[in-house]
Amino acid sequence: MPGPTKAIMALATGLSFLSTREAEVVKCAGEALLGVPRKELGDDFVAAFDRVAAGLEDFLRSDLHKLMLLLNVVTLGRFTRMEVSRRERLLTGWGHSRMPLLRTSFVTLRALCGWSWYSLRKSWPELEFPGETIGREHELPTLLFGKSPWTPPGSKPDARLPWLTPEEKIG
Amino acid sequence: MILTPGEITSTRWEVDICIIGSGAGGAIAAAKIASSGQRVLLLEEGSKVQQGDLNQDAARLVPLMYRRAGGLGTDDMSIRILQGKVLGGSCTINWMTCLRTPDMVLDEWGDRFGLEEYRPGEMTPHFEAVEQRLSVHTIPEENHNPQNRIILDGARELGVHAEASANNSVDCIGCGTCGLGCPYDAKQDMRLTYLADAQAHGTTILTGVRAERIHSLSPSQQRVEATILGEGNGAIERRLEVACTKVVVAASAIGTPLILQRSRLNGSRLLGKFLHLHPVTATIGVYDEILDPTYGIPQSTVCEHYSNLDGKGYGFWLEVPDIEPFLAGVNFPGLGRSRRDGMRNMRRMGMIITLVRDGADKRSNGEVRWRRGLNTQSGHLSISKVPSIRYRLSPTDKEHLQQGMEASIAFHFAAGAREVMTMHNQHQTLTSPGQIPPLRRLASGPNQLSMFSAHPTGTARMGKDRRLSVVDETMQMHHHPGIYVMDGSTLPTAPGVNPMITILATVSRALELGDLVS
Repeated sequence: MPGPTKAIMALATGLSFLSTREAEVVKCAGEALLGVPRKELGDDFVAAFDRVAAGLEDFLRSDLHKLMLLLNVVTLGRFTRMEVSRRERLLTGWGHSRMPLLRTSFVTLRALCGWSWYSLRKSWPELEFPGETIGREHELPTLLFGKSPWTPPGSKPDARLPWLTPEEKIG
Repeated sequence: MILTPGEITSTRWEVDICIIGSGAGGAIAAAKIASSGQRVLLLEEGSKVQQGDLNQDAARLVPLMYRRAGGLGTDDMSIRILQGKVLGGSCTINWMTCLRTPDMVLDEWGDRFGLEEYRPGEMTPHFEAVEQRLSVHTIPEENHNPQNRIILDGARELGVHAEASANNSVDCIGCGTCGLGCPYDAKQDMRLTYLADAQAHGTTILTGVRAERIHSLSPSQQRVEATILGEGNGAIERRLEVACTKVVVAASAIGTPLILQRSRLNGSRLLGKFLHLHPVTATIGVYDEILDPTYGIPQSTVCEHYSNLDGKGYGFWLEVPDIEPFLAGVNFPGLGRSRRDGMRNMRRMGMIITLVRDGADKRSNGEVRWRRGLNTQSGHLSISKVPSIRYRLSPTDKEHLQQGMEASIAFHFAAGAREVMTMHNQHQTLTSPGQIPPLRRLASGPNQLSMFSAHPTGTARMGKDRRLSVVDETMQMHHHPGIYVMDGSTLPTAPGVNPMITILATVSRALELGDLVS
């Protein structure tokens, strides 16, 4: 259970794990790691990160707080004010470092940011990923390979995957 | 009967057999023991899920169904471990591959561990029985998606053998979201097979209940302490106790040693050691044509041509998973804008994974145990015990991983890829097979090359000699009569194939040999 100060902060920000300062660090790290501008990442990216972190065991949450602190300490508190390219260089250096701790930090941060962004629907259009197949089963491209289309009860027969042109299906 | 935490009214249970864990081992044990007329109670820490819950929403389902919300890994996070924490265990979220344990592996168990009862001839009826129950079949030629054809096309070009794999599906439409549980109930997982059989024979399954400790009072008198986990924020946890004659621990090669160690049932110094992971790395080919790797039956083809590189059954094999955005997003190589641009090619990507049968050097690669760690419970710093998973590739296993990565790149180019990416932190994009040899110069130690695993096994291994193993051929603990381990932990070596069928068949055999099914 979070302490009273944490609980009040959580109510104010909607975040249950990250502090406001840490939320900004996460956004800046995500911008450098994923190549997606901070504005585009948005608050829902931070919320997704926060949800995963909040679900971790206590000792891992503690490690994540230390990781945020480390990012600020090594940049003398300037991490969120650095140019994106400098942040990218810093994190690349962590990934290539001889120090196992820095490599672990890099991999953890990249995995959490990658998950948080690409599990959000708004990241899917540029991947041309249309999302769930439920209700659109008969349009699955894989069914073209020798199998009769299968229409489950309740599906919408007129639904189309907009990104899949007939030529591509045949090809 | 399956109860969720809110439906559990009784906190004291008295049964014949208590089973901890509802994955492959726990499910088949429950079905067979219950069918012999004994009262069985099964405790599952994860949630009850049904077809209607499996709506393909990764953001909701991964935290719900994966251990540590999908973030389980070795202590240094150098190998991420994908493991189910849900009714039916990892079988609910796996990619359905059903391969028998190779004869060479079973013979190694006989030769090194005295397990004559598990020789290929003895195991055949058990493989046949579990395959029948799970509707296992070879995937027809016309059902391979374009991505899986990379394996077939590449193998043909390279002159090596690859073939259609087998899985446990019925009327699979290839939606590609096996990793989020099957929304069509096509996957014949434990919920639809052995757990259904267990329920039909009177087994009660309590979900959202975490086994904490086992008190072994005598060989025929056990007590299990458990916690009924709260549902939703602020829910109150409750204690639950089970009195029984015998306990079957089937909480996976990660969970089982942790429960037994916490219960001080660690008479064998080997408990928790000899962790095998089948470590995996991947290569991504980018093709001119659209492959749509998100869809289709995952791992419908397999190349086992390299599975016996040392003449002793150790090597690697190649498979092709489905690529979900969230899965690609976690492990995709590179950084910044180039990473984003790379991800935009998702529809033209094909991924090959290399799985290594680890343990070639015959020593313990890894260990699961409790270690002391810093906690911040309620905002106060404290030192307490935390679960620890440590693992290192041995030199031969590392060489096999490197060879597997190189082979998979060759497959991509042979199948027509225009470029291939590896999972090194030092991001590499290859445009021709001639660039494969220099890859060996890249740093590929822990967290320098992305690795993951979905096959932890071996932390309570089976054998005749109590100095070399934790459980005997009936899967009863050598040092603690009345306590059985029935899951992937008991496999004496890594099986060298996706382990679901191996776990089911070995537990089936152990039940035949032992006295649990009376």
